Amino acid sequence: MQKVAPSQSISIKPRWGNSVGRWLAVGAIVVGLLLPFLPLLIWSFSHRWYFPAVAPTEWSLRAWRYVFGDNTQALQALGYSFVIASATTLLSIAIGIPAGRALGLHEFRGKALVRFLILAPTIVPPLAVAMGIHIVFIRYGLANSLPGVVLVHLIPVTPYMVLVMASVFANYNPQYEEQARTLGARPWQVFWYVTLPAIFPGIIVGGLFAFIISWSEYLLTLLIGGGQVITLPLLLFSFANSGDNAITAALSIVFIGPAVLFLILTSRYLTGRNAAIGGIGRL
Amino acid sequence: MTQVDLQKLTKIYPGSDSPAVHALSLTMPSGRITALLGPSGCGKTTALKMIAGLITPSEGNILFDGDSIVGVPTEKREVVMAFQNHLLFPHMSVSQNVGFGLKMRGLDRHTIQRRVSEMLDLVRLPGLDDRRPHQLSGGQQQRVALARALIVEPRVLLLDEPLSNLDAHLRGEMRELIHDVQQQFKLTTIFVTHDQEEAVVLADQIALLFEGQLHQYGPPQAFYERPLNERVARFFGGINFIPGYKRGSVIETGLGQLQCYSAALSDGAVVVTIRPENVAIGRNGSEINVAHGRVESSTYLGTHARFKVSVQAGNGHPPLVLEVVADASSIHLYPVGQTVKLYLPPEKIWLVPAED
Ligand SMILES: Nc1ncnc2c1ncn2[C@@H]1O[C@H](COP(=O)(O)OP(=O)(O)OP(=O)(O)O)[C@@H](O)[C@H]1O
Ligand SMILES: [Mg+2]
Repeated sequence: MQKVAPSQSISIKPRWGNSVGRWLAVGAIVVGLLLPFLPLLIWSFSHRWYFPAVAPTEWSLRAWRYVFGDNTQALQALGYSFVIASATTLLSIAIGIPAGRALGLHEFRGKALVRFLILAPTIVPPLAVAMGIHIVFIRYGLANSLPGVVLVHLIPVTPYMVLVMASVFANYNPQYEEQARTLGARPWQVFWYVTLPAIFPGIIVGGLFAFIISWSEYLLTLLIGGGQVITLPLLLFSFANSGDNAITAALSIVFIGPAVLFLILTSRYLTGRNAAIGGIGRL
Repeated sequence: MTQVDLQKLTKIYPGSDSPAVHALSLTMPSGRITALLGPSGCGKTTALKMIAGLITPSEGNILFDGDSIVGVPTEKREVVMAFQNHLLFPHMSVSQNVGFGLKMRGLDRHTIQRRVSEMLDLVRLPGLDDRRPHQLSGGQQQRVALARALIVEPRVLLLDEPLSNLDAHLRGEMRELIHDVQQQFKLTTIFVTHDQEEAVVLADQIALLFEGQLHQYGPPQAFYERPLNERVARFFGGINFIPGYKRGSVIETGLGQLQCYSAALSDGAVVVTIRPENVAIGRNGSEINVAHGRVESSTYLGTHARFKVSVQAGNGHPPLVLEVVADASSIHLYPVGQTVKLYLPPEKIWLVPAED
C-alpha cells in the first residue's frame, strides 16, 4: 500500500508524461516479444519452404485448419492448459497471500528457514522432486489426473507468488486494517475493502508470473499427467519432434498468444508506481 | 455518553520485560475530554489501543458505563480511534473515506451520501468529496480523518496525537475544531499527546504517564499549582527546586527559612518548588521569604523576560540558581551582574517529596 503519496506533483501534473512512458515500455516489450515470432507466422502459413528461398514457395491454411478444426487435440490442449494455469494461479494466490503476509509483515522464529524452504523448489531440479511426488500421487489416485497436474505445478509457481506477496506486504501498513476495524468493519470487510485493494497490484503481478510458469510447464505435466493430460506445450513438443514445421509454428503462436495478451492486460501493474508495489521495482 | 473506567490496566509486550502500561487505573468522565499525556514511549498509544480493542491487555479491566468490554471485538465496541498518521484509505475518495463506517454498517447509499456531506460541512471541508487523500493538505487530511471518526457516532472517541503533524497555525484551528465538535456531540473523548500545552488547552482532565505509570491525574491547573512530585512539576515547566527540611510551616533551605502554606507533606526532608513566573524580582517591602542574588543571564522573550539568578546559600549549601520570569520591560532594570532581591510568596510555594 502506498503510505503517503511521495509527492503531490505527480497527481497535479497532466498524466501524459506518465502514460507515454508506460506505452513506450509496453511497446518495447511487445515488439521485443513479437518480432521473433514473425518467422513463426510465416511458417504457419507455408506449405513448401526449402532452404534457399526467402519466403515459402507455396502457402496453405492446413496448419491453422488443424489447430481450429473439429476433433483435433489442439483446442482440447488449449482448454487443458487454460484450466490448469488458471487453477494453479488461483491456488497459488490463496497460498501466497497468507504466506507472503507472514513473511513480509511479521518477525518470527525460524523465518530464515521458512524462506529457504519456500525458495528451495527454484534451486532443486524439479525432476528430482517430481519423481518422489509421482509415487505419492499414484497412491492417492492423483497421478494421470488434472488435479494432480495442478498440484504439481504449484511446486515451481508458489515460490514466485510467495516472494511477490512477501515484498508487497513488506511495503504494506497493517494499521489501515486496525483503522478499518475501529470504524466498525468486520474481518471479511477489512479484507475486502482495505487489504485486497492495497495488495491487488501484487496479486496481478504474482498471478501473471504464476499463469505463465504454469502455462509453459512441460516436464512436470508430462510426468504427473502420464500422457492423459495433454497441455499445449506437450502437443507442441510432439509436433516439433515429428518435424511438421507448419503445425508447430501455428501451435507456437497459439501458445504464445495468451501470455502476451496477459502481459498487455496487466501492463499497467508492471510499470510506473504500481510496479514497486507489485514487488518488481520500477520498470 | 459513556464513562470509561480503566482498572489496573497493564500491557507487557511479548519479549519485553518492563510493561508498556503498568497498572493504570483511571475514571474518565462521560462527555468530557481526557488527555493522556507523557513523553514519547510512555505507553500512550498502547493504552489507547487497549481501549479500542486492538491490543489485548495483559492484565486489568476496561469498563464502559460499568460493563467490561475486554472480550468485545474492536468492531463491536463503538469506539473509533483516529491514528497518529491519519491513515486515510488511499484508494478511496474523501467521501468514500468519510462514509466508510456507515457502509460497513450496511446503510443505504443515499443516507450515507447525505451524512457525509453534513459531516464535511461540520469539519469545514465542503465540496472536497471526490478528492483523493493525497490531493489534500495535511490539515485537510486530519479533518477528513476526524469526520470519518465522528460520522459513526461512537460511544468513545480516541485521538492519537491529532495535532502532531500540523504546523502551529493549523494546530490552533484543529484544536478549536476538536473542542467545538466535542462540545456539540458531548462525546467522551480521550486524546493522546506529548505536548503539555495542548493537553492544558484542550482537556478537562489530564493523566500524566511516565514509563507506563500514572503519575498524576486531575484538572490542568493541578499540574501547575499542585504537582505531586518533582518530575510532574518539571514536565509542566517547573524549574526551581530547592531541597529543604520542613518543620511545621517553616522550611529550612539554602536560602534561609521559607514560610509556606502548603500542608500536603509531613515534616522531614522535602523539596521546595516555585514556578519561575511566581518569583517576584526586585520588589521591596516584604520581610520574609526573601533572597538576594546576582543576575547571571537574562533572555528577552518578547512578552516576557527570563532571568537566571544565583543565590549564595548559607550554612555550607552549594549556591542555588533560581529562574525568574518577569515583565518584558524588566529586562532593562536588571542587567547581568546586578544584585537583585527575590521574593518567594508563601502562597506560591509548593512542596514535593524529596527524592533520594
Ligand atoms: N508492538 C510492540 N512490541 C513491543 N514493544 C512495543 C510495541 N509497541 C510499542 N512498544 C513499546 O512500548 C512502549 C510504549 O509504546 P507506545 O507506542 O505506547 O508509546 P507512546 O507513548 O505512544 O509513544 P509516542 O509518543 O512516541 O507515540 C515503548 O517502549 C515501545 O517501544
Ligand atoms: Mg504513540
